[in-house]
Amino acid sequence: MNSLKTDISFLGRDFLTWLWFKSEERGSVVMIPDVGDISIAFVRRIVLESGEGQYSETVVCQGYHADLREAKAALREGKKIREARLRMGVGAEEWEFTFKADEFQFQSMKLPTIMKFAEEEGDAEGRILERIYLVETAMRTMEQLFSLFLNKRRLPEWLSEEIPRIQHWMNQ
Amino acid sequence: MGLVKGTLSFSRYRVVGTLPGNVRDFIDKQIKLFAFRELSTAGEKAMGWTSLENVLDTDFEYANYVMADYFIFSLRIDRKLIPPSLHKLKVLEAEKRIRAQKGEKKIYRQEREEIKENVRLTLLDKTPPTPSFYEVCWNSSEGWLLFGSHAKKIREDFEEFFKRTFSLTLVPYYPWDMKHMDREVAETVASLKTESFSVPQR
Repeated sequence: MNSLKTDISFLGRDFLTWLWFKSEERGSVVMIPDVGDISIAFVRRIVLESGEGQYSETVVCQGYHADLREAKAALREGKKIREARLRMGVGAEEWEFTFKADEFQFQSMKLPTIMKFAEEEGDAEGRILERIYLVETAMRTMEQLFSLFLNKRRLPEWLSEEIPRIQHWMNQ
Repeated sequence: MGLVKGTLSFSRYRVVGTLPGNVRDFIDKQIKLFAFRELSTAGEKAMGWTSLENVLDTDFEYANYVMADYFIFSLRIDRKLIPPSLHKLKVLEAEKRIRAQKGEKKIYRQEREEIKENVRLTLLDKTPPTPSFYEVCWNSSEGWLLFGSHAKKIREDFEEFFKRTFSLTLVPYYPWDMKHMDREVAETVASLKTESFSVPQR
């Protein structure tokens, strides 16, 4: 089936760009069906790009107190987000990581504070397993967000409902 | 990657292929067979598996790399790096010495190449290797793996060495991989084109 060989790697940047809109739609809270509310915030650094190879143009917006207005202006020019620093909350726990859209990769991930007993009792295996569990939770949550995006993106309502909402947000 | 402490950076893979019936015995045999061995004096690069918490442990005693459903270990890569400026300088010195010995002004191309290679081998012999460690976290029952680097060359070395060790192929993980979607979803996704978010409202 030839159509399944189509290159759809652009979905990574489309997803991250949509996620910024989604994170601001309800004040950082995003509802994932069958999972519940999680929180997502874009913090400190966004890298946007348009074009490919030698014709690409990149804009980097960063700073502790940046409200990322420049990044929104770049979006209006047609750029999309290639990578961003994200803060994600699931339940009472919070992660922070740089997310690279093109390869769905995680970088410099800070985990939530680890359970006290594993730290105190010098249980190395328990500590490592706890950290893997936390990494898996972060990866799974990002995949669930991607599924949420893809289910919107592939239906006709994407053009009739989601795109107008994104454009309204971009122009605010 | 940072499985023990600190922040984590990693690449994700799907592990493709079939493991033999007794997975633990097979992995134990292969990981020991391909454990890290010191570089020979003339070698430039050596690669092998080591324990995660004790980098000197290449015996993997008591299967200390097995934790619950995971196999957790490190890839050690040792490289001898000769600074290009030092190589160039030593080649110039060698050429000067040879010209003086022969009383000739010119050195022919073939001889120059030989000098370059001899100088490189002499320097390699004297240069200690620089070791690097990259963590591996492999869930064999669910068929996925995390590797502690994003660098293309390191990943290529790792993918090739993993295949040589375990006869399994590593495929980078993307959630938009249509081979792993429902057929109906894959068919609608295949027709998608990149979206412009900034066009005027329709």
